[in-house]
Amino acid sequence: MKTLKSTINKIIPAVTACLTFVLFVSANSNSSLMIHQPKAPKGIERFSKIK
Amino acid sequence: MIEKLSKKAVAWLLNAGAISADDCELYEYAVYSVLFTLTPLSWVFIIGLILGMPLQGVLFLLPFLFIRKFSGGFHFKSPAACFVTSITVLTLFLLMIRYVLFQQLYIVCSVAVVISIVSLFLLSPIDSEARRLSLKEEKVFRKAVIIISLLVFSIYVLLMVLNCYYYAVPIGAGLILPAFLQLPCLFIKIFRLQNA
Repeated sequence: MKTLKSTINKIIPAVTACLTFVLFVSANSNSSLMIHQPKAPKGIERFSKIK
Repeated sequence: MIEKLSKKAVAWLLNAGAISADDCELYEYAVYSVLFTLTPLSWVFIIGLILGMPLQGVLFLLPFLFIRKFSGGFHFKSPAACFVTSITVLTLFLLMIRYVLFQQLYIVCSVAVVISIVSLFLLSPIDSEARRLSLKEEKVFRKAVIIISLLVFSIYVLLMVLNCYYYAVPIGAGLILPAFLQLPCLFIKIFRLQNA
């Protein structure tokens, strides 16, 4: 159980980095891929490179 | 379901100290986007496997994903309607690829690809209520659509010339689908103009 927990804790930085990359891609592109566009939260502009 | 999963994942990241409380909404959006995108895509891959065309499924999805990200197009307000429609449209396109390959309708496919490229150049980018674009973003995304579409079209033409139809047709379908998903927006615009 402890090993599992420590393994999960080890992947947290990688998960956070992937999600940050998703935010960067979302902020610098137009649309979600599927036929539903979730409302983008306000803070997402800080990830945008298109000013 | 996806919303609950997103909230749980973000709570886990927050408890682990990986994100701050202020960023919770942002990361919930990120997890939601990933899960909402991955589910229909996994479905297409499974259908591709069942139909015996997993590679064609991937070749179809890749150009679609890159172009759709910048071109925009029709979006449902309801996630459930979107989910069902996405899966239906993607499955229909896979079946169409299979039909075109079996019937050797390569000229029809090429005509549809050319029409789609012209349509993408003329209509892109299309924004939505949930994501309004600035003028700068419109210019950048329009350029991105033109560059990606031309690149994909070049690969399509090259594969057609080399008679690699089993790879060319799915790539062509990946160009047709984002253009097809822009058409409802055009119809809505025309309808609104007529009723204005």
